[in-house]
Amino acid sequence: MKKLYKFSAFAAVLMSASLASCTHEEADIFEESAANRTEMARKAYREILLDKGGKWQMEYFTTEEEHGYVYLFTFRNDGSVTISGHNEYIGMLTDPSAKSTYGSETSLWTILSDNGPVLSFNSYNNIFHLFASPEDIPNTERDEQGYGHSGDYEFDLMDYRNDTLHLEGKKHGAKIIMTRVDAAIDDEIYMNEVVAMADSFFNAKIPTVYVNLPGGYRHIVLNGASQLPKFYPETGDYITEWVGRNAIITHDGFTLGKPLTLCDSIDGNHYTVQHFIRQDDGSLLCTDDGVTTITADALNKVATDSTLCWRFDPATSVGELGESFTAFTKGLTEYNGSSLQYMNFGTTVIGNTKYIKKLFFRLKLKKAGQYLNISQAYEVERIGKDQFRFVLGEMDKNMAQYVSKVPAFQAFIDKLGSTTFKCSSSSLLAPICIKLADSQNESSALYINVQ
Amino acid sequence: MKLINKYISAIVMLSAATMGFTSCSDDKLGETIFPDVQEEVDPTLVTYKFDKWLKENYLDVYNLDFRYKMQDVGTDMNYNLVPATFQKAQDLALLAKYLWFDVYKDVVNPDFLKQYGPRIIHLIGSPAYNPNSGTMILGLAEGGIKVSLFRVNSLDVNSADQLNEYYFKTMHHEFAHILHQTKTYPAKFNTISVGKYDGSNWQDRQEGVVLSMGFVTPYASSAYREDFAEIIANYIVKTDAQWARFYDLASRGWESPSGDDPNAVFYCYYYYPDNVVDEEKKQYFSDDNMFLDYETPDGEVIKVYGNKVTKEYYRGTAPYTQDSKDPSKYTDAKGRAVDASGFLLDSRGKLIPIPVNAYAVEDKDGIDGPAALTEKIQIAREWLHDAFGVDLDKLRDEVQKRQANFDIKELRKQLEDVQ
Repeated sequence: MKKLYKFSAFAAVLMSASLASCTHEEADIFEESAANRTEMARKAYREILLDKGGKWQMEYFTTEEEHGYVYLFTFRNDGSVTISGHNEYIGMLTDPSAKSTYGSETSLWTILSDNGPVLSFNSYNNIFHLFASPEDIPNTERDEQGYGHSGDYEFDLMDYRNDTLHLEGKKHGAKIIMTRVDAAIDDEIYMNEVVAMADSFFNAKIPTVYVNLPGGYRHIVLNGASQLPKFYPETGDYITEWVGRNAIITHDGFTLGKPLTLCDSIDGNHYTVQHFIRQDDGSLLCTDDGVTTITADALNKVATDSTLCWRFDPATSVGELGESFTAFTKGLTEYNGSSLQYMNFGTTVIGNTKYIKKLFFRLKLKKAGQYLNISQAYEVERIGKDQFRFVLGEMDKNMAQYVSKVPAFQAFIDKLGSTTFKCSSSSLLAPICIKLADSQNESSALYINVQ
Repeated sequence: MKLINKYISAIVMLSAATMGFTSCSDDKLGETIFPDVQEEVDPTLVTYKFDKWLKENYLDVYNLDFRYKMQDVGTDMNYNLVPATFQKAQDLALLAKYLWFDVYKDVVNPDFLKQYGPRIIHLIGSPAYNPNSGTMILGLAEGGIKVSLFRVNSLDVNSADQLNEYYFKTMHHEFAHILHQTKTYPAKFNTISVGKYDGSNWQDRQEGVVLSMGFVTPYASSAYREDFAEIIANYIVKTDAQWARFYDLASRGWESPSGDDPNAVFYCYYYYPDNVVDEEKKQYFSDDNMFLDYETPDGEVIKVYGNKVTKEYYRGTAPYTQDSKDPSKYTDAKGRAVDASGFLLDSRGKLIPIPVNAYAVEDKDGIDGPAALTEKIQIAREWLHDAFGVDLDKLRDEVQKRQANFDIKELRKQLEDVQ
């Protein structure tokens, strides 16, 4: 009998299991099957890419150790796509002597149905696939063979809104943004403008620029020109506090590979920044908060920076100051046939460690094939954020001799010492050329270029 | 009672089982959730002519999907790979048909590749590098179904050797895999080089060394099945001159100054500086151009190392005779010019230096390399004939003829002519 109970119990369990298997499924959440929905998404994204002429800018990233690259894509209904770029690796393939080279090539594209729609560039394009190729790129320091640059050429299409596509590299996972651009633009002109933009943003001659947070605190940005910037608090310690990001300079601005959160020690808040657009004054404005900017230091600090060397540009100087400059150079010639080769100022103008950190005007004169350097020490007095004046110091013997013999020279030096200069520049981020205007008469100005 | 219990149990079990089997009988298969796949070639595409040619020459004939638009998901994601260029893909599709599919169609029979050929050929632009081992994959055959051809972007239609080494050989190699995955080759093959395979360090082995061990390439020495595919592929695509060289290298002895270290460089010739036999000063080389014949003043032909000579000179055969008319001249017993000390002089009156003797390394590995190669080819030959009715030698002759004479411009016309 015990056996009968055992069998019955087992049968009951089996029946329950069988009955359970017939439990009705819940109603479908979606009206269409997953495959059909993916197919619909595939078609929709295809329409999006082809719409309005099918031209897009891609902010292409590989790994976090490498900066981003701008590419232009022109998608066509016949399955072809023209890809244009302008970067150093295209140059390595085509012209090793060029720093950065423009290239454009047509290949194939499609949108695949995978777990979702996937944008695939499925035939090799020399301009674009070079970052995914495992082949070594000639003329580079690194050996890429086997590893490549970990670039993707298949992208999960994640989101679309406001003519912006968000993609994710299918293999290596880099986050990629594509933005629709005017179909009428010329690829080469556009890419040249991107390169020019990169040069105007950061300039290695102005090594220190700042993230200016809303509360007033600043973080120093190093290596911006490399698009692999490092950030650390202005009053902090570089060694222990720097944070690095890869970045990309686009046609309109500057974007970090991923968000960066910085602490404002003045208001105690943390600010997260990633996207910046170029302003008319040359500075970068963060579009994430609309307040944070990236600029160089105040212009009167840049112009008087003890680490920089500046050169007066007589050709562009105007007004009284310009005339005074011209007069003194003429006076030199009239005095003994000397011609002014240049007039620099800043600490590095004298390559003598004895004078390190001491500021000098330094003039190089040429007379009968011989060169003579003459100099005068100075200090600076800064006024506000954009003004300063020179406090003139001792001249060397040769300079004193010239000044005593050439009245126009004396007059120019006197003018330098008596004028309060107001600084302005076309770029607050890379002020490699600064206008020093007489604060009392802005039509009178000297122009200086960083060396 | 026991019998009743059994019946009750049986009835209960049967009921339960019946319910179990029938409980889902009202579930009906709905329509496929997958959208219809367009099978016709799209005439609006820039790839239309090629797509149509592929359909007519591969899909319709061989039920073969020739995938030239790479999908990363169809590859081993552990490798960094890129697609083939459109132009290279077209060239390789044309060459694969001409040098592979058409050969089997003409030499074996039109249905052979319909039955045994791959169902997918997947083109990949780059090699699959293994940076850690320094190796690269040129081809893959998966489950008798799919053949992946790598390195397509390096295709140079003007370089016969490159085409042969990286593409044609790979095609036949991978197809050999498909064939032996279909019908196993004789186990006897695996016994020929048993114990000599090295799956980990084959890439460090030298060509000459592995040939002397009976492997046609270093890769053949990685595993039995690779050995089998390599011997077939190389037999088909390599020329008579290349095979003569294989047999020559296979017949040599190889030695390394570093002993048996598999990573060491092995040589087939050696010499001793100044002909002083000192094992510590033994020098090795493998350059055939430096292993030269030299005829000694006594007419003996010896092997020497290039033009390198010792500090010694050849002596004549005593006695020496002074010339009665010109006392500055001497001859030896054989009438050859010698100097006053009996050293032989050449036609310019110069002493004749003794060259540095060179020697071939003795083949001491106990393996008859050429015999092993021949035996492997014979097994493959018989297996192809018995299992598939394929005449390996006819196949080779046809491939050799086509390899030497193909005209890529002519082949490309097939695509241009597509309407």
